Amino acid sequence: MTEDRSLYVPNVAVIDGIAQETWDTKTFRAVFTDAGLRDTFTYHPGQFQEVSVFGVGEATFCLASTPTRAGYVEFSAKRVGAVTSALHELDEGDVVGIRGPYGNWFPHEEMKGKRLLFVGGGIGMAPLRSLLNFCLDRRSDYGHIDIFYGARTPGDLCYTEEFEAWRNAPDVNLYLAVDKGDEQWKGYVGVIPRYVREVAPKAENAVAITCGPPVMIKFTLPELQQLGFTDEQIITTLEMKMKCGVGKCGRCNIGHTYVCLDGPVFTYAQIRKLPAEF
Amino acid sequence: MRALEQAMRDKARELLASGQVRLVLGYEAGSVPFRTAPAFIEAPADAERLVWNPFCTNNLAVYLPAAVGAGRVAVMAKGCDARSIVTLIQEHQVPRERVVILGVPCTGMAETARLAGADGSLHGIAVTWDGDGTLGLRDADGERSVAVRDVLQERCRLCEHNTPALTDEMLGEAAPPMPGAAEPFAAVKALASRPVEERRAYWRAQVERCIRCYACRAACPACYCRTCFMDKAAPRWASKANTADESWMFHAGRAFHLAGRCVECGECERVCPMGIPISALNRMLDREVRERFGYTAGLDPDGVAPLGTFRPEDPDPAGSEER
Amino acid sequence: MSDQYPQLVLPEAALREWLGRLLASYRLVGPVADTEAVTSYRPIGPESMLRLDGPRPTVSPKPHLLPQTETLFAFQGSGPALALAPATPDATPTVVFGVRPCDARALRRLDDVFLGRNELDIHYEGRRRATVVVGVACAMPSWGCFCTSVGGSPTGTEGLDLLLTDLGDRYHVAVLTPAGRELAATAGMVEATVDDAEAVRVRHAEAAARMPALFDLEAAVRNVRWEAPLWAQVAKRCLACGACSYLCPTCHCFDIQDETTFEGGVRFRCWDTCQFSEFTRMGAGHNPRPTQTERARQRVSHKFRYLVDEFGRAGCTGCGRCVERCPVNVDIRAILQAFAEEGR
Repeated sequence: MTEDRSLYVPNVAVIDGIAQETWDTKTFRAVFTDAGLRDTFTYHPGQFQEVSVFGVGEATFCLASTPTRAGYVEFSAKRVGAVTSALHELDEGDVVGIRGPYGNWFPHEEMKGKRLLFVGGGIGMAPLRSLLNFCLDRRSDYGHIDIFYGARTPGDLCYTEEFEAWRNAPDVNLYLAVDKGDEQWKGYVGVIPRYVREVAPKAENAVAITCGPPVMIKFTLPELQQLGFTDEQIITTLEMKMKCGVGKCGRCNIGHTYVCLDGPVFTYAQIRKLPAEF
Repeated sequence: MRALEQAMRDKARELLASGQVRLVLGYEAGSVPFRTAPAFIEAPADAERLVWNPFCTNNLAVYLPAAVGAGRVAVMAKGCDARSIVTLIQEHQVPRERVVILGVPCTGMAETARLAGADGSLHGIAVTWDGDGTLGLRDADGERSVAVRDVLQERCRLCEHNTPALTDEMLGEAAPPMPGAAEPFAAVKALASRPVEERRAYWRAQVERCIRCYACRAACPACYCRTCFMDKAAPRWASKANTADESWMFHAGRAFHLAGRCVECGECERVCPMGIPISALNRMLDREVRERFGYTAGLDPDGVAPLGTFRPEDPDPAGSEER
Repeated sequence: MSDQYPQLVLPEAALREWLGRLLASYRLVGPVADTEAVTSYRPIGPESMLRLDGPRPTVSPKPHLLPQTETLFAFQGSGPALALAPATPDATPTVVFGVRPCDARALRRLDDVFLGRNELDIHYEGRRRATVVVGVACAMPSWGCFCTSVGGSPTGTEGLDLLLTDLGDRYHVAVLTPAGRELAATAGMVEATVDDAEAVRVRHAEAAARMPALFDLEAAVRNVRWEAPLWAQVAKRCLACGACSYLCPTCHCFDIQDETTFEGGVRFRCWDTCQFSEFTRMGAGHNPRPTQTERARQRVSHKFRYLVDEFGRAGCTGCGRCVERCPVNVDIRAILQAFAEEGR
């Protein structure tokens, strides 16, 4: 951005794809109207954007797409409030405003050569999907990949269209779980932390990346520690109410730490040092 | 009045020690001699902190809806506070059996700004109260006395119910009436009689200063909505932009929500940092409710505010005299 | 006061003429009465009844650097035809006249956030670079004032381009910056004499004597901590309004909202406060600061811990407005005093 461009003015993007993931979650694919930006726009998995519906407002969404697939961005939104409801009313061809990318990102450089353990729950899979597809697009850079993804019911799982591609990628195991199955469900029924314990992925030379509902994280962490993961080996991404996204509006801090500047990606070692207010 | 302070402390100690209440709401010394602060007394020994003086201005009823959740609460209630409590009981925000209303007969609160000396500052002022009707002041100008009656907050001067109506126990003798009680609506009558264009310009100029701090709403016991209409995102009734239009939406909207429920405690106006005459707006509507429905808020715990109900014999505004 | 800049004197009778001359090139803003009790910074002219003496104004000049409501851009149309019209930063040359040292000092705190931390905020920058700040020394404190407890002074020059000291029939004018010198040159000021300088020294000493420090700021900052029982106590009586934050000259938190009109709409930012219960509440309902205890902790810790660690200065200049306007007498001086005295 140039010196005299206001950081609050978004880029305009057209919605050119809407996928209904679950009854209340959609994934939106957006393409910048500025052709130059379309080609040059890049980001890192783990970063977030401020997406707005003009006339309704802005909200924070992590990037769910991977920068290795250029020309568009994707984000997933659960319908919970004014902005997300307005997003859910949009059709292909409507426009949104996008500011970003903001924040830090998953340390994919440091992850090279390591085993990767993804543990996602519900819509928490969105930022993990960005990193996962990034790694799969550069498969030889990374070691063995285990993906644990769970939701309350089969209908609450997102990105179901990609499960096949994930499962079939070289040296990748996909473990899906639901708390409560249905007649069609043939997979694991139970909570993710228990599934992780049963499968017992190796911690040696591994990094665990987790994102999901607080209760899932709360019970997954001890399992990972039991398996031998140190606090530096466990990475997560935090969600806070944000507005400016750039450290000015004073809203997203946890103690000294601004989630939009120092996060949203944190190691568990960093999280342990934060006061318990998130 | 010293006796009143002692009665407060004794009663609080007694109620807490016997376990009849888990909390006593009252007033304690503030950080300067001309302020008090709301006191939350939970241990009998802490009852000594309670005070009574012409600076006990806060309406403590504002703390009741949240406080009674955990058990019975006793409140030191001036006339205005007691009326607020009655309103909360009427509207089922406070169960009657959860509150012990300790009636405090009141001869009015001092307007602190009027205690300043020639330099206009209250810095370093020492204030004493003789326990009756006189304040002793000492500042850079020297020493002087002033009668509380001469420096009353306007809402006290006009108060019609300075002896609380509904109480579980009165802590003192009934108080003499306030000097302006016979004509509580004189000023708003004068305001209401001005041409509508003049009134529109007047109120616009007042609310233009509003910084939407919502201190008025926060201090008001009758404003207990979990989500105020001003904060709703869907539907969005008003914008957060503090233009005169949006701020008028707030003040007029709040005034209508209070019509027939406001007890004229005047806290809204006292806490406003920008000097907006918020209480006058509420009084205008209270006067209308009084005249049209013959109803005064906060006196009868079994009553219902006129705008909270409909009766076939209610006056019909269509065809009433032109305003 | 700097030796490289002149010390001047302006007769009181010449003040209005000076304002008139300034008006030719600047937008002029100064302290005037909103009501008998309320003083704010509003547009002024030579005929304005300025309130330059007495205790500091009710409202700080903050709205002129960081307006309470500020349009970021307008939008019109829909779909690919949507057009955005970014707001041009307001860079109208402005003189904010009659600023007290506490409020001037506060500007540096706003600069830290809007000019310093991370990206540049061009809306704030436009105004800031175009504003000249003319201060007036305080002779007498308001009852909540405590500038000397947080490293300030009633006659301090930090953040000012000029500092006026009232000497009765004339103002001593300390020029502090090139911008201040330019401003002073528009009036027919004469050099201050040795007697003038002495009169200023006496006035300033008197003012300082009225404001002894109330607590040890360093000790207070050191002892501000997460688990203090103080937070819950403050929270009991706090009504969660925004009076303290909105009157504070250093508070800067804001919200971003959209407003629609028939033709399109605008996106604006507006003041917000960590004291409102909704401030950190997320769309799905989770609120990391669910009660006033957390919010009281945030306010004090942010000002006296986080900002000190980040920028080396507290987010408070002791203007005392929060102390005076809090409906329930939450007094930050008492809070800081309590922390300062811990472990003594």
